[in-house]
Amino acid sequence: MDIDISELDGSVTCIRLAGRLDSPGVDRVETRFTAALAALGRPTVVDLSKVSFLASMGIRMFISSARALHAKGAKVVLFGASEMVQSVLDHVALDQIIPVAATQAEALTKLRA
Amino acid sequence: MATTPAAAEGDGAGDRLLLTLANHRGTLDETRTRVIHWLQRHAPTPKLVFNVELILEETLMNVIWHAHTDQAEHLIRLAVQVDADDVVMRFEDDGVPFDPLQAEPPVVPTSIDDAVPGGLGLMLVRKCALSVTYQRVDGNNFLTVRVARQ
Repeated sequence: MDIDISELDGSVTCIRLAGRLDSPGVDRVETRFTAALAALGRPTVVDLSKVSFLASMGIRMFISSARALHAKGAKVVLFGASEMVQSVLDHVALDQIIPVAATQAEALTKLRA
Repeated sequence: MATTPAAAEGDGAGDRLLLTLANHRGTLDETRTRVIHWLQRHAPTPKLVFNVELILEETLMNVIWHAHTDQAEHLIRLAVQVDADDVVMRFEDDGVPFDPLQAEPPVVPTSIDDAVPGGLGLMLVRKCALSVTYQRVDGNNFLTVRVARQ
């Protein structure tokens, strides 16, 4: 599981995840992921296009981090999920609480909405 | 057997794979690898592989986290069987009685402030399975999960 944190337009944090977001994968990236969202406290988009697998531990990480970021007045948008990763997001209706977009451009639009 | 992360009880050469694993998180990766390697002989679709991996992760994590009240090592027995239309996964553990079918389903939150990041694993198992059945026999939990091959 890999994580890459960068900046878009000088004001948006972009986190790109790659690999399996199962319990071992979450163990490897959660500290950096949470720090990037909550510590920076900036609007964030998360690229899931290279995430090959997603389980409930990954969903927990998204919800916990999104709550911490929301408490600081910013939000996070997920984008780029593959069909099967998207099916997991759909099963738990994650888009009811965290916006989900198909592309990075759409994610940035939702972030500004 | 208890010292082996995921010991095969049978040779898995037929349509049934039997594994015994210890109840700690370090066994998850090896168990997943062995099940998926064995499943390849049945030409699984990518969706089937994904669903089997999801059921393995969520069910085993639930047993590892919640089934036992002591710190001792316990064994989890896993049987995977492939038939014409379905894959059947049976999990056996000697933990406290737990029927996931009787558990309250998590409430789908409507806002991030209401969201509680727990209880999602069993929901995912039920969503991607054709059926989930539970039995308590001779002090053991048996959870059987059937998933469509297509």
